[in-house]
Amino acid sequence: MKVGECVHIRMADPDDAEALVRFYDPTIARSMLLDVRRELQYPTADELRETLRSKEVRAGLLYIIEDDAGALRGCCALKPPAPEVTYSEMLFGLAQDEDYAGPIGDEAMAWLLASAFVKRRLSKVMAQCLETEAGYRGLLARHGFTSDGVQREVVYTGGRYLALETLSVVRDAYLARRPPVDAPTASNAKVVSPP
Amino acid sequence: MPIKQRVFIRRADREDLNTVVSWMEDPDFQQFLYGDATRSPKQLREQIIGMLGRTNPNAIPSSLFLLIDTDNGPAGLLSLQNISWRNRSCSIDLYIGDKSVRNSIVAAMAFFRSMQYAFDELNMHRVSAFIYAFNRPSWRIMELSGAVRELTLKDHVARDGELHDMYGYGFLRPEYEKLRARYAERYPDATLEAMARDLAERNAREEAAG
Repeated sequence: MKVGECVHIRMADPDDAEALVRFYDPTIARSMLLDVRRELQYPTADELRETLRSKEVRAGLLYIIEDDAGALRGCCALKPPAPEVTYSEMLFGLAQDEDYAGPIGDEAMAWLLASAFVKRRLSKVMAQCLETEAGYRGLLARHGFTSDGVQREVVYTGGRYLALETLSVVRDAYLARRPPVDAPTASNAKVVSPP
Repeated sequence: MPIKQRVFIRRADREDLNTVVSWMEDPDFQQFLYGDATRSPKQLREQIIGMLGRTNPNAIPSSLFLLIDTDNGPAGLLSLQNISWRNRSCSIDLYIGDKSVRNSIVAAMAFFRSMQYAFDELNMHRVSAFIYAFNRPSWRIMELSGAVRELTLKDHVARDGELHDMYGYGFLRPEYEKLRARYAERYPDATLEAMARDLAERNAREEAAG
């Protein structure tokens, strides 16, 4: 599904494993690869294929971000909210750091936030960002995320500890700054309705 | 009575099940439990059985459950969860179940001893804690210990129809070492070593008494 001028979003499937495994590059620490213990995960293509066969992923937990040529540029997800609350944590990662500053990042983020606040009517979306992910943090800030704080020395990789920042945007703030449908976004792309 | 004789920590086991369940069924206690407050008694019991169940002694644990014991019996539960041996980090949850000892000294001693265990025995670098804003006694212990409030998650948890903030604390090894030095000076009998010695003496006294 095309969601802007240059981004296509679709659910991930097991055939994406070969392309996605390149995204799990051990030389680049990405917050979206952290597990519940805050350890970076580097699965093999086989393990990814197995994960992508799971019911949760097939039900639309993980989305692939593609460009007009059909090349994988990243992936994103909204974790299912707990029953008692109406907030969710997002996972978002782009293969190329420069895409965070361009239309690929803006259009995919706009689609994911519309999906969270318009379709799912969530009250808050949270994101986490390592101190090395300046591009990703800039994208979050452009889309209204504000900092909830920084956890110090959480993730050990490359012989040193990294800090992890938690950011969030609440529904009211999102709706207040959301451009009307068909109005240009920061990346000069159209906002389209979520699926 | 000296503080050292009042608070111990030990591994929780199956025999503690009924005690822990009785705490967790108390609405006053549930208020502070992390997770969905509407879990049924059966779900709570299953959760506790999972926590206290046998684990493979050869497996590297990702969580540890400790009972806070006193001369009058178990007083609370303490868990070290999400243990990462790569990051040398874990998160801590501390619950005082016995209302009669729900005071700052028992909770503070249990916290201090669990930190000794985490840093001096498990060689942790960082301990995290997530505490509801309305649970002031707990986050005061963290702050008085030197832990840093790193996160404030606004309107994060629902209790009694209202949304409350949640705080995230981080306690790093240098901060723990300052706390340990302070405690060692003021309460020399509060060390984990002293606790183990006192426990052994208590067990010997009980055996001798038949």
